[in-house]
Amino acid sequence: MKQTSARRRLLLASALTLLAGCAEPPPGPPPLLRAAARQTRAGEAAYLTGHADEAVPALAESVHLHLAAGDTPGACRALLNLALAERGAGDAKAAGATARQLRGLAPAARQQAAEAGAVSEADAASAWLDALLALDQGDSAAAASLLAGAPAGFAKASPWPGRLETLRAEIALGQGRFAEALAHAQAGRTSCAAAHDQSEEARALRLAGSARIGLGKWLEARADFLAAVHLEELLGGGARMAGDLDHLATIAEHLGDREGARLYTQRARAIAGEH
Amino acid sequence: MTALLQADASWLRGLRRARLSVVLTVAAVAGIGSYLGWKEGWFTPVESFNFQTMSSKSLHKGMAVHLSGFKIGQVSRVELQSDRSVRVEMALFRQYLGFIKADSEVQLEADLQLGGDPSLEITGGTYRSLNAPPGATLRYRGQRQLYDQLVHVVERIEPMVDNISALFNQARQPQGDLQLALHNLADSTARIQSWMPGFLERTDAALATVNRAGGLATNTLAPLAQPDGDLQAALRDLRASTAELRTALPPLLSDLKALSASLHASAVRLEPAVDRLATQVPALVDEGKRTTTGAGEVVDAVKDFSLIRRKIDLPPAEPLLPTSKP
Repeated sequence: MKQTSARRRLLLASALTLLAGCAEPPPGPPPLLRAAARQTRAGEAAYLTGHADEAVPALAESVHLHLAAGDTPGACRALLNLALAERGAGDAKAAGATARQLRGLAPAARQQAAEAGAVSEADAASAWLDALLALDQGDSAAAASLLAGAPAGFAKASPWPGRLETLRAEIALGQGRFAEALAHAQAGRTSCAAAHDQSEEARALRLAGSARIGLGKWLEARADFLAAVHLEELLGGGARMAGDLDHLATIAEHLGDREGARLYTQRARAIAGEH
Repeated sequence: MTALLQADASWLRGLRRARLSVVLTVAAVAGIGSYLGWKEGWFTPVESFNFQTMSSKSLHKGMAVHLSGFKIGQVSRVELQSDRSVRVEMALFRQYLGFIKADSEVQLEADLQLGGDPSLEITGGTYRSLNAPPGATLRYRGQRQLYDQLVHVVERIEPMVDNISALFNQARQPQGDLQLALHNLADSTARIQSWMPGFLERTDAALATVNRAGGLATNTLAPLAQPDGDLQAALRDLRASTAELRTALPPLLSDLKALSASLHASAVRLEPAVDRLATQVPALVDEGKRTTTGAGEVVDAVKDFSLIRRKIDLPPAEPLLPTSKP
């Protein structure tokens, strides 16, 4: 009986091995997409080191390569990165043009993603980018209405729930609605942490800290800014960390901790001097 | 001179020992050979049987022949016939001839085993059949190929998958039995919850009304029972009936009261459970819906393997730049 059972197990294992052997190895991404990924990495590296203007050509090339490969969702993400780089380089006009391109491409990306059984992020990305650029121009009402039409229902790993909430928090904060801003920032922080979007999580913490200052909750605000500084230390965001330390100095002074305020200011200046 | 030609005694002893050693070695080899031959059945009396097949694939001389897992002989010859068929002769041990029936079949056994030698298995053979005489030709049943066996397995599994799929699909239907059952359970619980608190008050009110009606009836009938002519006689019966009613009513009322108290106690005991259940039912319904939806997606994904392939083929998402300016 045992021998029969062992024989059956052996047969089953053999059959599975045979089937696995028959299976075709999954093909890697096409060469055009590999090249696009390389360009995106190059652009990302330039952007993160503060050379947004150098990131623009690489990210533009990434867009072309994605389009040439017929990868519309990938092209949409590359367009978004390109717009952010153009915005980072101070070219708001180019960023607006790229945002329009993204808006035009979003329906095709939605259809292609649906055919592949995936959820399209292009619509959310387009709405978010339009709102961000509107907010940059000081039109917070337009930004809020653009975000209101953004789709929802993304997976936890998606960066969009967190980014949308964080931008809502920024809009509410700019309009002086501190409690609402705090609620959006906290929701955004949770979503960003779930999506491992650390830079956006730090941004949500920064916004939550500012909202708490507006509400007079200084101790909680200090905790938020300290958490943001901790994240920026991991990310290497020097300028942003210097800004957070300035906020911490203000809070410490308000709480009567003059020595702490002096140390925070000293450290902020040292970091700002490095950059 | 003689002493020089005479063999040395020590040399002679060595020679004898060498001769003895050679004899013992030969005897040991012969003994081992005989033992192994006996184990292999070389000295066991055998009878020859044969069968014909269209191919000698996997068949070879010396191949074991089994019956119910026991080795009962081996293939002694495999030869190609003039009509391109293959004749296979088997030498079966004489002691097992009683198991070889005229309707026994020979088949190739377990060629799926990795590293194992294929063998022949004699199957079938009813007790009522006559024994096959030595030299008889047995029927050969070809072994199915691996692909055929896999197809056979797949054919057996396919209806099971279809049934499971149908089950999941049924569970996913908004108007399906499971969904309806969950919906009805939630609905019933909500109705019980809304009905239960008022029921006890309504029961108490009904009992109070009956009591009042009984009192009023007594008060009305008492004056009528005064002795003033025929009416008294007419009413006497009515009074007797009323008295009977009054006698019968208190136990009935007490029974109703006891029943009401029992219902009240049960309701009090049930209420927390109903409350708990009522809060859990919507979650359970949602969970059930999610589970069935998830199961349905798994079934859909298994059924549509190309969906999985497309997802595998999707290139990994590229990084997203941070919003904050560096």
